[in-house]
Amino acid sequence: MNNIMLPGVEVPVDNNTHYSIIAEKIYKKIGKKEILKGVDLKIRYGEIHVIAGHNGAGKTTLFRILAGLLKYDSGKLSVLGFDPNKNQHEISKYLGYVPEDSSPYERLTGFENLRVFALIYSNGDEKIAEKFIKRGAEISELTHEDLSRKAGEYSNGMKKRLLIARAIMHNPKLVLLDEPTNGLDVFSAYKIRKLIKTMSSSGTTFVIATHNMSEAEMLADRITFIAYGTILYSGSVKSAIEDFNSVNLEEAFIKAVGEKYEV
Amino acid sequence: MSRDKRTLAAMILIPFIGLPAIALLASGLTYAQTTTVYIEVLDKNSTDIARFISSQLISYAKGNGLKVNVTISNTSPTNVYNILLIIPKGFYGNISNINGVGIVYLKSLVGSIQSNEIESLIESVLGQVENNIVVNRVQKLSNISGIKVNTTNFLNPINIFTGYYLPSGKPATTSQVELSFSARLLEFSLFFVANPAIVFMGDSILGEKERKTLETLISTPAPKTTIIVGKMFASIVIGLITAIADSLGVIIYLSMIAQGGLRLTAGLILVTFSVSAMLVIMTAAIITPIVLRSSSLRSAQAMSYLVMMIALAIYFSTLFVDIQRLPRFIEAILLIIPFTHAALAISNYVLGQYLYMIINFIVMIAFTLIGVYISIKAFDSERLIVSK
Repeated sequence: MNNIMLPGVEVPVDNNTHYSIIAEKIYKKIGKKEILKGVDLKIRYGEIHVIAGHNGAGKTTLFRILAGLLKYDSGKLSVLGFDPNKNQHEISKYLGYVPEDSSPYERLTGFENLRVFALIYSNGDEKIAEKFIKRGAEISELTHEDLSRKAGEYSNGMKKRLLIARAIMHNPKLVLLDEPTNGLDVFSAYKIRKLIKTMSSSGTTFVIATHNMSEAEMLADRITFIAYGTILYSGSVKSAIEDFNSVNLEEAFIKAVGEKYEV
Repeated sequence: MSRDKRTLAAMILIPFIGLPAIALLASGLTYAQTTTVYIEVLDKNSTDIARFISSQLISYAKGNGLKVNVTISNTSPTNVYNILLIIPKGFYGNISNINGVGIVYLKSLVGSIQSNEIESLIESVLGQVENNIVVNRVQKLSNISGIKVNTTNFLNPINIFTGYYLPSGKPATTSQVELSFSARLLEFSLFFVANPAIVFMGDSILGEKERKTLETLISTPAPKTTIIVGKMFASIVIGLITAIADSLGVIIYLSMIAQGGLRLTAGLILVTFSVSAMLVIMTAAIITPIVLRSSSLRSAQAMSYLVMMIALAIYFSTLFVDIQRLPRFIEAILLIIPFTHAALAISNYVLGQYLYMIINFIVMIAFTLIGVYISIKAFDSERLIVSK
């Protein structure tokens, strides 16, 4: 199957597959700038799907639209069966979201950070919240001592692990991670990738935005290339490398972008 | 709350300690200064009058908490004095003549703040001297004409009895008059009550954006009403704690600078506290839509302060006028300003107009509910995230 997607080309769809996200011709303008220019995207349940693109490609805007925080201008979008423009609240119940530029509450301890969100996800039910906190603590792989300290004292890697644990402790159906390892050292990035791999085995759909192609290659079940607000390609890592006759994903991405935009 | 511990402590301690300290300093400095008065007596027959003026002036000044140093001499001063009183030659002769006019020269040092108060005291003493001269003249005329004259009645043909009454028509007691004065000062302190809520409300929403915690929070299932009301509640609690400290500081300050101090009753304190609490809640509710529609914390605070300053400036003007005596349209404009009702609630309590006071509270509650409603409608995650 040829998965190369260029603007105006329909995504080949396997009608027997269930998708957690279906986007058709999504357009989004912020101010006078058109950020997304007819995005088509299909993401299957339970996969790790990497959205790879350069800085300013529209990854963050796409994530915010998927989370229902920004409203798309036109097109059709289904996230977990809901339209984010109309049902953000419904989606939020099954969503774990870690924005690229986010931070835990630095004056709260790790446990307190988990507790605030556990109470939100459990709708105030203390018993359920306690379970979420326990699970969050396990996922974060932070020690009890670390979790008892204020998050402001954490390293960047620890903060990121806490944020991810906080986003997935309630076992969401869909997790959006925007540049989860950006700015982290090798060890912290490795731990986070390991965490994502482990969690995805439980059936959660992970959508990860990154501009790091090596990371994309390590993580992705399937990959989507995005450049200048347009989806260029969607398929498996292996097929991306083959389709673009490249030695690795980085080269495939450069070729994909170059074909259209002569970068 | 944890993040704001130091700020909160500073906001409580600075006015609570600072304002009384300023009052102490101001009254201490006033008491510490001595005004120098030089009485140049060029008319040797007027030396006794100069001595009378001096002793009366020292006594008046002492009664007003002021210190004065009076020098009497028949030569020109060689040093700089705050006030010069010159009694020229022929003064005694002129005032002794039944048709004569005595002249004195009273000169104050330019730029001397304390001179004004002492100058008015000297004028009072001179008024007393004038009164004695008139009494002497009347007695002289009485003796010449043979008509018996009661000098007190002659000089004061009209007796004025002053008093106060309540809007109900009943006479006001001294306590009510004093409470009314205290109420005006307490209304003034309300300005300091509204202020902290503005700061904390702006920080609770846009500060969270700047600390990069907002986007994750609004992506959760927490309803926006809960988020807004939660933020408002936190700001109100911190704002109220700070406001109480600020108000106490202002009240102590005003008590120290107001002559005779403030007259407070349990009822007035309770009403003032209730009005303050309502004012903090209402301010937070009014500020929230502005914060939600602002692009940054700085612009939110700038906009909030602008709106609040306009409202408070108008509200302040109500402290110096009787709203009911203003033309209808001006009264209507003032009454649609939420803060006016905070001031009026205290006034109405003191004047015994409890129904009007309840209406003032209801209006403030209504403004609060409108603020919350508009805030919920104004909550736009896209605007909050995208704005720089």
